[in-house]
Amino acid sequence: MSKSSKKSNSSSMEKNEDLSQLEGIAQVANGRSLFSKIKSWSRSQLLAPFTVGAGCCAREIMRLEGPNPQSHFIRERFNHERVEYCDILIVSGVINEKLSPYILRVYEKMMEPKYCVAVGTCSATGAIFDTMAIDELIPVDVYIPGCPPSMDALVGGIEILRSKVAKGESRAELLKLQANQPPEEASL
Amino acid sequence: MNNINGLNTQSNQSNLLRDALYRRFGTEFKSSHIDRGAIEWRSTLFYPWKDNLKDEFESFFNELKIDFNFHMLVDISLEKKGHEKILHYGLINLENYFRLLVSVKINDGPFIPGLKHLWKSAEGLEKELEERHGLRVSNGSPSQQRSLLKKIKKEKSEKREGIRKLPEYQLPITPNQHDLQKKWYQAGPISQPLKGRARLDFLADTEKVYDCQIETGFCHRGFEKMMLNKPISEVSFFMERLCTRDSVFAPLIWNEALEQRLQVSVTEKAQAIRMVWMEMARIEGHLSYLQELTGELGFLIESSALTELIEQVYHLYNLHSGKNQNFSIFTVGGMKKDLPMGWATECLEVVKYIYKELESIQSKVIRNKSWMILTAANPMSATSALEFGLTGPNLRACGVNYDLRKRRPRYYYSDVDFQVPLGIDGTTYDRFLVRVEEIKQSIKIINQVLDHLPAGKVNDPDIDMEELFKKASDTEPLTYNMIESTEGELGILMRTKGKGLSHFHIRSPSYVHLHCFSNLVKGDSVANALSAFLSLGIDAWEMDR
Repeated sequence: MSKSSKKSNSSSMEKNEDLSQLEGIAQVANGRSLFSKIKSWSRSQLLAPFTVGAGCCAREIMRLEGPNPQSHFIRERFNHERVEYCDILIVSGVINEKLSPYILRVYEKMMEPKYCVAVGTCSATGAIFDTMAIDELIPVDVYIPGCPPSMDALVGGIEILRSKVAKGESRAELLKLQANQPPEEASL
Repeated sequence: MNNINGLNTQSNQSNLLRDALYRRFGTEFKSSHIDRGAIEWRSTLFYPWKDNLKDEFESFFNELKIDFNFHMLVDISLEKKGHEKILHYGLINLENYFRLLVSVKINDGPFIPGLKHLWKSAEGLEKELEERHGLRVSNGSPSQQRSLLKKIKKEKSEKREGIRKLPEYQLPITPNQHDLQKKWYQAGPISQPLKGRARLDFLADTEKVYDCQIETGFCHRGFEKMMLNKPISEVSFFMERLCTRDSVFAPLIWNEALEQRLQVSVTEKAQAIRMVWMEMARIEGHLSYLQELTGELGFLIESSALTELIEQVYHLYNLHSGKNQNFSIFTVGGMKKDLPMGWATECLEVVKYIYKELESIQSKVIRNKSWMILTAANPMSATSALEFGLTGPNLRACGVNYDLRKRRPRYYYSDVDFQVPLGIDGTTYDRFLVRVEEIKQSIKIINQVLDHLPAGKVNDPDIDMEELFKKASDTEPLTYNMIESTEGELGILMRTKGKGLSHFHIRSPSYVHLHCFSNLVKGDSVANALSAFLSLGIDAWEMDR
């Protein structure tokens, strides 16, 4: 028994060493390990979106769950009730001064890494009503244009988001990294 | 253009009322401008504001309410003419369906007198004046935060991305500090059943709601003010995006108002197609309402079945206009496109399918015992509904027979056979059931109209808008136009000036309905409160404008 346990221990140790070596080997250009790659890929397979905003675009987003030919590509639910379990913020419609603190509060509560999608021109640029754009508040990963965007555009946008999540390219993380880096010294 | 056959019996009574008003107030009521051949009588009372005239002002409105039976205050809007400020009060006498628009000129006084003690609907409407225009109302209840759109200067050098710090809202303090059981709870504006419509602060303990404060303005876009700077040709584009429930009634009412102003007639076929579109929008709006309410109360199978029916209506929209919302299909004088071949038969089939499915959904829901228990709460009496100025299905659920399609029929509504479904108690159950029955009546109307679709053109290509505006530019009258939209009376009060607008105000049913909410939920549980909120059918964008 003792021998076998020793053996198994030693083998697990060896495995760990192997894995750490593998990890070192599998490092890619942007400095991510294999494990983080697997993690982000599995995260991309079932997104957890939280939708904010009312408007024509919100109505289109709700249609993604309905009986459409396009909604076969979507397996997510869009009416999550808890923000704490979500990592994707889908913003649609007009954002004004009064609503913006609440959006920030929702964004702060979300899981990390955080992603944000701006649906429709209203939330992306302020558009015809000349209101606030969402990227003045929080960093945005995917913009889906249209007033309101068509179903195909929405599905396409979510596919782009899925590929971004799989790669782990979060805009918010990138900005955080940039902020933490010391300023580059001017080369003489 | 308009059928006014149904109004002849009422017009004698309204003449009597008009004479009585003239005898009492005499010269102050200047003109009796009759509009659309209906019994709307417009009056102008210019009232210079001084502090000591406050009692006179209040007694005037008191007399209108008690002696002349104007039981409903529908709307208040503020017009600015240079340095002058004019308040327009819209009143309705339901007995002989008489509308009165009282215009009051106000000087720069410390505040304007509130009418909260006469009409309960004045509370919400005056709050809007405070919130949007910065007026101060005596005995008013000011909002926590004014909804103003400050323009943020975007400098190119400034880094746009990144989190910016903004002021946070704090809950109001509990009035009685020693009462530890009562607490203020906050719901919304982002959380699931509210979805950006409003923030509700409940003063509640574990059983009851004692007080409720409503805060609006989370989707405020400055819609009315923005329209003043736009040329008239662009307004229709914006009106499509006024309401998120359906984009039919708002652009339609705008085009009707322009037709009324420029005296353009609509072709017969276009009138019939407009009727079909209005009823389709009503079906769609009610279906999405039913879907939301059933989904929120846990009837998920029925809810998903209803989404399928909404898709069917979208399919009909798509076939005619090429879009499922924000379709620019209405123009001055008719419709932009004729119906495609075979659309009428497709529509009849779809409508038949909807009717069949709706019956089966209805039979599963309304006799269900848990549904009956969940929706039996929050009753509203007919008198309080009138005091709060409710219109549409919410008023009819309380048992008041008031439908603009019957009272002021336009197009072919007087020739079509349909009924106005009424509720009894005004509970959530009634509000649900009235809407279900209304969908069936709408289907009945669509069937009748499509069976007798008139031939001819759908618009008049010879309409020259510029010439019409030149003709109409001599006078600048106030134009009021209203429609029985999905959730009640949607109205426009406007004054054109050249090719632009000098005054523009939208009477939105949702805003008025919201302010009866705090009365509706007092003494009931918080869980019922949220379903009651959904049962009022409030649309965020239409409410906040």
